[in-house]
Amino acid sequence: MYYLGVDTGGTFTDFVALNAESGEITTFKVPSVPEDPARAVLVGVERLRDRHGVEPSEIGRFIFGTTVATNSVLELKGAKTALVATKGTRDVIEIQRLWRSHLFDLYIQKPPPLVPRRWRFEADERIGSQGEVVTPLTDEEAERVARLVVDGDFEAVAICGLFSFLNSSHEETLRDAILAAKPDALVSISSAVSPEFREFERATTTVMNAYVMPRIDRLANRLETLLGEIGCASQLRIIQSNGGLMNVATTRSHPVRTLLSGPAGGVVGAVGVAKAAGFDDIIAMDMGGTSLDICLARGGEVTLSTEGQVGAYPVQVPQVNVHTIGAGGGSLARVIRGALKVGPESAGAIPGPVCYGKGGTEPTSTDAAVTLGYIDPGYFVGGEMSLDVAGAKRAVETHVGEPLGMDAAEAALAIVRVQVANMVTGIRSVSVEKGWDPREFALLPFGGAGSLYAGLIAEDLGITDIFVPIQPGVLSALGMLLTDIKYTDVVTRLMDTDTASAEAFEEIYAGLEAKLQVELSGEGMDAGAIRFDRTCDMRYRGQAYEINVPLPDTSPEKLVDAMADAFHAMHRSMYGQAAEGDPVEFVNYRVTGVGVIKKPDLKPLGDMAAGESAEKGTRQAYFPGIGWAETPRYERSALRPGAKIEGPALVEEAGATVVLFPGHALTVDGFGNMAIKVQGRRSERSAQ
Amino acid sequence: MTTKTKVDPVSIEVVGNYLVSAVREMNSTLRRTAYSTILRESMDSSTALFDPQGQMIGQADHVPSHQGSLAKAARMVAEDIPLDPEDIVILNHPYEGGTHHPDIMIFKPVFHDGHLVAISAALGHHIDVGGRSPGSISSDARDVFEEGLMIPPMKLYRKGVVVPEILRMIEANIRVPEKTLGDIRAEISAVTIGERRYLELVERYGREELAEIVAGVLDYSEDLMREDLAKLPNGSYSAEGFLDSDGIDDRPVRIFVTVTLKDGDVVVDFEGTDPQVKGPFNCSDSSVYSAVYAGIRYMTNPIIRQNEGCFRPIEIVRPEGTVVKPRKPAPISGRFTTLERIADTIVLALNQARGDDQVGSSLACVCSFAANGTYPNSERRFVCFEIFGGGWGGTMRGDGLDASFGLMANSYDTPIEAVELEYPLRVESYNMITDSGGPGSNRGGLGFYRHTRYLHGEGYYTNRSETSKFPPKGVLGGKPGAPSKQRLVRATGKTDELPSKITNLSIYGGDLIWMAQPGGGGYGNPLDREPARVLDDLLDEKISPEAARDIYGVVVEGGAVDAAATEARRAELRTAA
Repeated sequence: MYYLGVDTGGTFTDFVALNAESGEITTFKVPSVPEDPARAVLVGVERLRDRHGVEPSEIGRFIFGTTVATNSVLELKGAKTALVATKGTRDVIEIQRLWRSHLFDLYIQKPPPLVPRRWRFEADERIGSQGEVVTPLTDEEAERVARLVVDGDFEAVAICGLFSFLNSSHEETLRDAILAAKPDALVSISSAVSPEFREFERATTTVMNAYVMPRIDRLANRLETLLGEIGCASQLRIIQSNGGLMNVATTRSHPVRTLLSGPAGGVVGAVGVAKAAGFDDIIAMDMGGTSLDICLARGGEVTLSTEGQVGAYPVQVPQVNVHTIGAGGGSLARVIRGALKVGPESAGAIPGPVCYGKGGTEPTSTDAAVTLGYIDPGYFVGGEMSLDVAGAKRAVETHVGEPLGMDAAEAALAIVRVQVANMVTGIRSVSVEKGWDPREFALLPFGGAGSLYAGLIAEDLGITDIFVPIQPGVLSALGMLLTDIKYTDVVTRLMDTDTASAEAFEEIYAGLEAKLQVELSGEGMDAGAIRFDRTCDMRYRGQAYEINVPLPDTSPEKLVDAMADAFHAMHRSMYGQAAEGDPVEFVNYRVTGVGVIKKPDLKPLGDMAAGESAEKGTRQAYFPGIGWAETPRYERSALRPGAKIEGPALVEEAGATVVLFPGHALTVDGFGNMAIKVQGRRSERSAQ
Repeated sequence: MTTKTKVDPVSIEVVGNYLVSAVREMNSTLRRTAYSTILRESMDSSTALFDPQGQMIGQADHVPSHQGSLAKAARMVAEDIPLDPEDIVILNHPYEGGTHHPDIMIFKPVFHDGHLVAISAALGHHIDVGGRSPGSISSDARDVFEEGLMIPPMKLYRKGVVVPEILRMIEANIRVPEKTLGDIRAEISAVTIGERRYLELVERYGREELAEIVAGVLDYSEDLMREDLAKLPNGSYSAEGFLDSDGIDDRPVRIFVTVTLKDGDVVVDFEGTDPQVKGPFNCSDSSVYSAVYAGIRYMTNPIIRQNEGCFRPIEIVRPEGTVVKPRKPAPISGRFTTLERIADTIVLALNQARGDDQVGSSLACVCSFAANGTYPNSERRFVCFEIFGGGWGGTMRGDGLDASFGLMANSYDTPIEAVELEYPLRVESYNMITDSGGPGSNRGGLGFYRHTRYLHGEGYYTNRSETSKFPPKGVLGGKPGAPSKQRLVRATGKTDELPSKITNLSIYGGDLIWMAQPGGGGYGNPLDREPARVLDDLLDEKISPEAARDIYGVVVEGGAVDAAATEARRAELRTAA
């Protein structure tokens, strides 16, 4: 039997097929077909059969990741969507809480609402803050609104009523009225999509669900038909933003959950391989041409957030906590009034860095790396492209070196340092700003450019371990094979330390678990393979933001106090103070039900044979503190378990180079992953 | 000006960005740990880091009026108060560093090895600090003593030990202490996070080297400011602006500024501004500074890192005894409307130096309202305080921002659901207002309605608003935005038109607090607006059919622009004008 992971990106669709018996992995990429992503899947499945001898009927698990929804939102190319809101509130999604993203700009514009005002309708109805009906929704009113929506010929409809998270009856009535008038309408209601407090964020999430629904719906249909036609026995699973898998029916009703499907796959892959190698606490950084995705995982689990953002819009669904900044290989280096800036502007794919020779004239971070000798000009993307070193060097010298009075190497290193500082700021925002000390984490770079800089980033943050996984180019697709089925559910009920009891908690959690048990059983999971994780969102009475506290393992009579203690401790550690004497409130009770899927075992590599060597000569490269050095180069694919390398050195593979800085030491594990020990922090002075 | 040290450009970027991210984290900590809706939902707060001399070294995209104010106060704390490690200084006294009574500032000195290396600061607007009106924003106070509790700079913590008597004193003088004391703790969280982050930076660079780099960060912002300011033609530019009234006497209050530009240096002179007024629309020192700093800052590139360097090119001249330099104990709690007007007037003055690149007037106010009362079936009391904005002026590049806070503010609204969960109030409308944006080739931004039903019992309603008599001006042929309007619709159905400033009006269950927020001024002649954009606005009900036809001269038939009829209509309107 084979497990197949397919990750649809903007340019390529990645395939990872894993033989469940032998642990052998087959990987390849085929060009994506943006107008019909399923076509690339068909091409890949045929290639798997024709070139690798894997029959579709042998595919026992088919897991799919997609950026279709993400790109619809980023490019504002979603469906023609209508919004129905409570009377008096249709502009909430355009007012956007009155906030502006930056200051001192007379020309500032807000992000355009995904539904323009002419397509926003109001229903005369109202639910109050206790869930009570304030203004009843009459049948005539529901029908009036339904007619407006149906007559407007919309592809999708979002409905967001005030306090629907406490009482969903009005939203449901409106939905039913629309479906009665147009049975095939695609309708999203906020009480089902995002049943949480704060109307702007909930409405925006619901609108986004509707906005991407038609495209996801078409894609799901296409894929299901396709799998049937080629005789693939597997049920289709789609990776959702929280890093877990979901079935096609849930994907259809909650497409907003696929908004971070792509990055979630990468993160889950990174966490999966790191965990297998013994690194449970990691900061993963996926660096491509234009952006850097950063994510923190603890105890082998990805941290989740419900306060994410896609483009300029808030999305209130559980998602892997990925933080994206504009730092990539194509980030432009510019001297502005004597100070050096790198990014967020990027040279993009066209013209790209100067060294690509496609017309770029301004130096990028990749040009700096080439100037420093970090990248083999003859081996870029596995030798498919050769690089213009002289051009890169000239650009660095002219645009950065001359204005700052530095030679090309110093200027290139300055570019790298500024870029590293930007990346460090990004990493700080997922670590220290959330109360985590990055020094307790291993840094995990993947994507094309991350491993060039990981050593310097680690030094800056005081991180001592770097983990460079196998298969960095298709880690997302690989990650899907290491993913469990995951559903989360939440109940909101306000209790405090005086009124709460272990019995009340147990009743809530047991109820949630029973519900999840049904869903997971429907996925074909055995009871023995299902695990539940309980957490509670807690705060001091009067606060509005909660801290998510995992339930401590203790006896029922001590549970309430132990939870309060855990909360006080987290509050003090994150915020520098706690009010131990004050009442603590329990707000949201969350259960994550995990259907643990048997993970394939990866096949260990054989040991290095006597006389075999991965070393392939030397190259001049420039390092902080020591300057130019004749630096040994290694071919990654030839490295065998147990191999050890001392920095400075360069480890090269198709699509990525690991720069091993002086004082850093690398070892290769049984599967071919590389672990780097970082030897303390260089002082800032000697780094110049 | 400081003597310039040569700091390497890389360190300037690295440390400059770190400071911004640290300050952002401080404010997000404040929000996450706060108790009142005005802080935890609206984020009417700011945080900043200062050097030991009180120069602002880092801040983020929060309320502009707070930032200049914190800068002024931090300098006073640094100069006047002998600081020990683990001290925490508290103040709100408007004549001793504060802005107005509800803004409580917290400062924590940051020590490394016994040396003062920085000051970490937070400012939060508190829901109530006592005085004659719930919410402490009375629009008719006669002196500062009526406006609430005043805390001169004092140590709330001495060497890490709290002085409980101060908290007891505060508690005894305010209406909802359980919120306010929690919010003060939130501010302490924020400054503690700032201290942690700055010490990490000291560990990394060493004390002395870091001080040099930080000086370089400030110099760099100063250089960029001067470079941008020097692009404007040298000269003196004047403008006037008016407040509706001072809240007591029903006559306008005049702000007059003359901005003189010379090769990157700026002097802002308030000669011609009205004498100090009876009501609370005078400005404390720190408020005036913040308004001038922001008004000038809007003339420069937004990406410049905001810090002390941005202030250095600016000199401020204020005649004694005026609205902008009142004598104690003149009341000041409504000063936000005045400083919005100051910033707007500076922008209008400098329009004269900007050729076609002018800007219509913005809403130029922060409207705020407060209401108090009791919860149903309970003796527990509440105070609700909310702030609102309006539309911005149209610009050469596009329409003004719809529904936003003014030039001097940047906060969030309080979600309707947060209001209703917290208070016995119901928000019945929160929509933008058709035709409220000043017409222009680039239209002013729209204002909006906020109608709030007072559900239960009885209490007092206080409103501090503006722009009802002097709607935001248009430029280069653009028309003014719609003025603000305030009403009280009684449960009986009777409607009272209210002035923009009202204090302690009795309200009862079933009454509706009705507010229309102003739109921004237009840019350019509305007859030059592309007909397709007029049609878009019409379809979106941002303008009415009458406005499309009679102001924009666009004739729409069957959902499309009738080009020939439009041309004719526009010719007709041009002739009539």
